[in-house]
Amino acid sequence: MHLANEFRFRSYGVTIGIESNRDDVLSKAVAVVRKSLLDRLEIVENQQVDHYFGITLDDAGIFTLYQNGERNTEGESERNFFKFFGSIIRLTVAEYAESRVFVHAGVVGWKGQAIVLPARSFQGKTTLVAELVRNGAAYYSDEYAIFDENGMVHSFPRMLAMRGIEDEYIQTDVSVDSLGGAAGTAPIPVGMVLITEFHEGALWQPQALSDGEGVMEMIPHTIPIRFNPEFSLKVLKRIVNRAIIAKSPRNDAKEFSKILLNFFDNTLV
Amino acid sequence: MKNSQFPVARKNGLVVQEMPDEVLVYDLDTNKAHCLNQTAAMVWKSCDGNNTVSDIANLFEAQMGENVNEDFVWLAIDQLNENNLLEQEMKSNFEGQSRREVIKKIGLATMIGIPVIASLVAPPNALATASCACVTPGACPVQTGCPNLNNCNPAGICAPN
Repeated sequence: MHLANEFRFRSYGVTIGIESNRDDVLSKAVAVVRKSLLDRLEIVENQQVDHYFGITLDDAGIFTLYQNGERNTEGESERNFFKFFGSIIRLTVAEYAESRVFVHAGVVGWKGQAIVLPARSFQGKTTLVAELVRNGAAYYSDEYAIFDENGMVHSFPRMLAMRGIEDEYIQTDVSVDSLGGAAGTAPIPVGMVLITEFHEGALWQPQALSDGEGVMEMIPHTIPIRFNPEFSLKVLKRIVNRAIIAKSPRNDAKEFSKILLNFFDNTLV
Repeated sequence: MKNSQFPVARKNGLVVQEMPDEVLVYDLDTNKAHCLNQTAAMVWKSCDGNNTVSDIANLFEAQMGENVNEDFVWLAIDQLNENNLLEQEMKSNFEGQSRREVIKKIGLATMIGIPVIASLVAPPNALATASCACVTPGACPVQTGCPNLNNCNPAGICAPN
């Protein structure tokens, strides 16, 4: 497939090409890419790319997404289509990034160290990150902890995608400023990795995990684990070597954020 | 329980990370990650093709200062077999006892931790570990952590309407 309009870029070392049969659709796709990746990209022209995406809009108003030549999905809703596309672009970069390991996690900085909260979607990551920010933590990310080869975590401070404003499923973009907080910029070492899930009435009972147990808990959230297991495990090992790895259920984010920061102060500062 | 077989630890197709008291092994063929605790790791490392199960039990005693019997080593071998971490499968030698019975017996007889291998399969694709975004329901079954694996709701999320 070759479509007339094209945009090629590199982000975190991953080269991606986007094609469309229409100028306006390509412009929209480029805007979505820039927003999804916080504009952390550079345009590459006349260069082979590792990943190709094609987007067509037909006369019936159907958007179709092709990924590396194969049809991925199609639909009428422009909003849902581009939301999905933005998510796929981020995941592609997250999976194939050079010299970085993306872990699906919320991250805040506290007194120069990171608190990393790996979790699946719908486990209350963003809610907890928002409460930690309201309590003075620096915002690093509500989606990805981005680790370099030394295990330092880099910020990915996109707008917080909060649920529960419109309804329990729809995400609403919330700026860190509106929470009274600020985004962290400098890479920081990890002080604590906390494996936690919301459970009504749960008590904070942190259990310290061994290094091996910690890595095993992080693997399901490590995006490039299948593509680059050697590098991923090397980086995860560096993280658990340095950080406390704890596991506990948690109660309401508002109350729990204070408990967590107190625990961190008493244990790690 | 005498056995003259010489177990050999598998080397190919594995990524191995040594931790202070554990060994992490990632199987590139199956995309399974294994965490061998200290005693399971010691048995695995001793499977060099020159040691019998009996030899490994003796090595253990020399290294850990604890007397362990062959059942202890077999318990590790059994799990190494199960997780395809030996070059060739070794027939289990528990003489009719279940693993649970052997663990109970060993647990009472030794002060050191029994061999344990914890395993998990890495997520089948990146989409499964993140997002929940969809355009059609077809995107949902692979996104295993989402509220609904069959429905793409009007907001474009794998969740109930």
